[in-house]
Formats: sequence, C-alpha cells, structure tokens
Amino acid sequence: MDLERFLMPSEQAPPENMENMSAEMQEFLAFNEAEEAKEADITFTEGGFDFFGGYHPGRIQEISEEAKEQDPTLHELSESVEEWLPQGEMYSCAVACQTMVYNQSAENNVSEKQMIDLGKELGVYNHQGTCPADEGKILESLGYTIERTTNGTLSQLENAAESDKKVIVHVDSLKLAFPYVQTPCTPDHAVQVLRVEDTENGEMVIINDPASENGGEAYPIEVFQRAFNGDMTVISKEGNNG
Amino acid sequence: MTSEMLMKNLKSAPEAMKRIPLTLRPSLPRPVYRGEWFVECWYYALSRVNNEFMMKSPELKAVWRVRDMALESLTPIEGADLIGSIHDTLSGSTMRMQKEYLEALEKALADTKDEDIQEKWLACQGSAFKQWYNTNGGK
Repeated sequence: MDLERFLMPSEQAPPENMENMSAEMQEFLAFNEAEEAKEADITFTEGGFDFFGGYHPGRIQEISEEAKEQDPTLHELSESVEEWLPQGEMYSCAVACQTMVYNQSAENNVSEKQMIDLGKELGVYNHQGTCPADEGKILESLGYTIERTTNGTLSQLENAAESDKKVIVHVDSLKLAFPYVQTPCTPDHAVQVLRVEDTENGEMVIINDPASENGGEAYPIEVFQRAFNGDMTVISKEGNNG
Repeated sequence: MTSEMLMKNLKSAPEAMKRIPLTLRPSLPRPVYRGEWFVECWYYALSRVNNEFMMKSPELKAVWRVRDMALESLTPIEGADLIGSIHDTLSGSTMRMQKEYLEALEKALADTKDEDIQEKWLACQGSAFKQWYNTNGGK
C-alpha cells in the first residue's frame, strides 16, 4: 500500500527533480525558506504561567539595529521603552504613564514628581490617585490633545498604537497577573500600550507598566484582553508646545 | 437594573468616573431599602506583596440610588491599611456564593425587604473584608 499519499505535504519526501515543480511553487518555497531564515526584528524573553495560574510576561530583549534603521516605528518603540519609569507613589500609575508619554517627545525631560505636583495643582491627582475622567488631563494642560473612550476595542487599540499617537489604557491589575480568575474585569491600573506585534507566538501587546520592574513587557493578546475592558486614552502630539 | 449592570455602574457611572479614583475597586454592593433602593459600596485598593495580592481597607464609602445611579453620598475613610490576602475571595466556593448573591440581589431589588439579602451579602465576602466590616461597621 502506498502510505505516502496519506501523509501531509510537509511530511512527504521532496520531489527528486525540482524541474517537476511549477515555477510558482519553486518561487513559493524559496520565499518561505528566506522568511524562515530571516531573524525576527524584535526578540523577547519568554513569558508564561506559573503553577498558581499567575502570568509572568516576557519583555523585549532586543530590537535589531538593522530593523530600527529600516523601520522608524521600531526605532520609536525602542526609545519609548527606554523612557519607562516606575511609579513613585502607590497610586500614581496614571501620572507615571503621562510622564513617560511626555518624555517620549525628544525635547522633553521631566520627573514624575514634577508631573505629580502639576496634577495636584490642576486638581486631577491626589493621594488616592486619578479619577478615570481625569486621565490625560496633565498632558492636556501641556498642549496635547486627548481623546478618551470607555468602549474601545482591541482593533482600535491596535490601530492607535500603530499610529503616531500614544495610548494609555486602564487594566485590571489582578486579571493581568492572574488572567483566569473568575472575577469581573475591574480596571484599577494604568499602563501605556506601545505596540501590538505579530510574533511567531501570536500577537503580543507590548506595554510600559509603571508598576513593573522593566519597560517593554509583552503579553499575549488573549491574556491582555482579559484585563482590558475598553477604557483607553489616545494622546496626540499635534498641538504639543513642549 | 440587572445586577451585572449595577456592578458595572459602580465603576463606570458618570459620577464614578469623575469622583472614584481609578486605583480603587468596588466591593459587592450592599442593598438598603429606605422607601426606595440604595446600595452601599466600599472602594478599596489591592497591593501586591511578594507576588500575592493583599487587600487594603476601604478608602471610600459610596451610597448610590439604584433607580438612576445618582450618588447620594461619598465618604472618605481614613487610615487605609493592609487587611489581608484576597486569596480566599478568589476561591471557587466564594465565587459561586458571590454569583448566587448577585442573582438573589436582582430578585430582591424587585421587592422591599432588605434583611435576608444583607445577610447573604455579608456571607459571601472574603475573610479580610468581612473581618474589617465586622470590626468597623463599614466606617
């Protein structure tokens, strides 16, 4: 019995003579080979679940210099990760995110403390944090344009992150850490979304989380979406007077 | 109003968006009948200590009028402190009790009696919140 005809094409022995294949097929195989050989533009450390169901994100390990030269958005991503900072106060996540966004413009360099002081002066930050309706208002006072939505979708998030805009989202910190707990999604934390990247392990949401120890953390989109209920602030650089 | 909608409104009602800080999470609503239905809700923060989520004592108490989600009162509670792990709150049995409570709440809101449903509310709280509530009377 000819068992080979039951095998998947990839399991079958290659044809002895390439001339038997159509030119299109040869081109397709050559393209595939080249794609596989190409190194990823972004490499990540490995993330995953622990025994207790906690998710530990991977993070950006390297963005290749060549890729950064060819793709300005990767260059910008690299610089945005470098502007990550840890929140200085227990409830200052939203201010820390706004500080990162502000400092991602080359000409700006402020401390989170300066932004906290400004937030207090504006009445949009106190010892309990920032109310959702006040998200982005420190940046607005500095000339940025902000657009808030409470029912944003993942594709809107992806589009906004791909554009020239900056994105701060509210997430449920408990569900980000333990994605499969059966609690309702109750956002209590702000993070900056930098990019949604298609990787060999699926789509990854790359964020700057001020409550973490590093910038450029990467969550699989199916993990991230459990902690995200559509609450997002999109910030435009247009109108920035620095 | 469904209990699911009620839970969502505790964070996303327009008044909540303006006056409840992002960092605070709502407790399950405790219903009170005073000629019409109100719910009391306590807002607390989580703190991550050694990879475990700990609950802080509530920092705000809000009273919402169920009919239109008008904010009746918002009272700060001073001296927030860590009160215990939320581990038992996430257990399957507590989650089931909370789900049953929310189903019962929806039915209770169609009536005028609040005692039974208040007992159910207390019974399905995690141990840290329950102990804090019993010690402080919710204040």
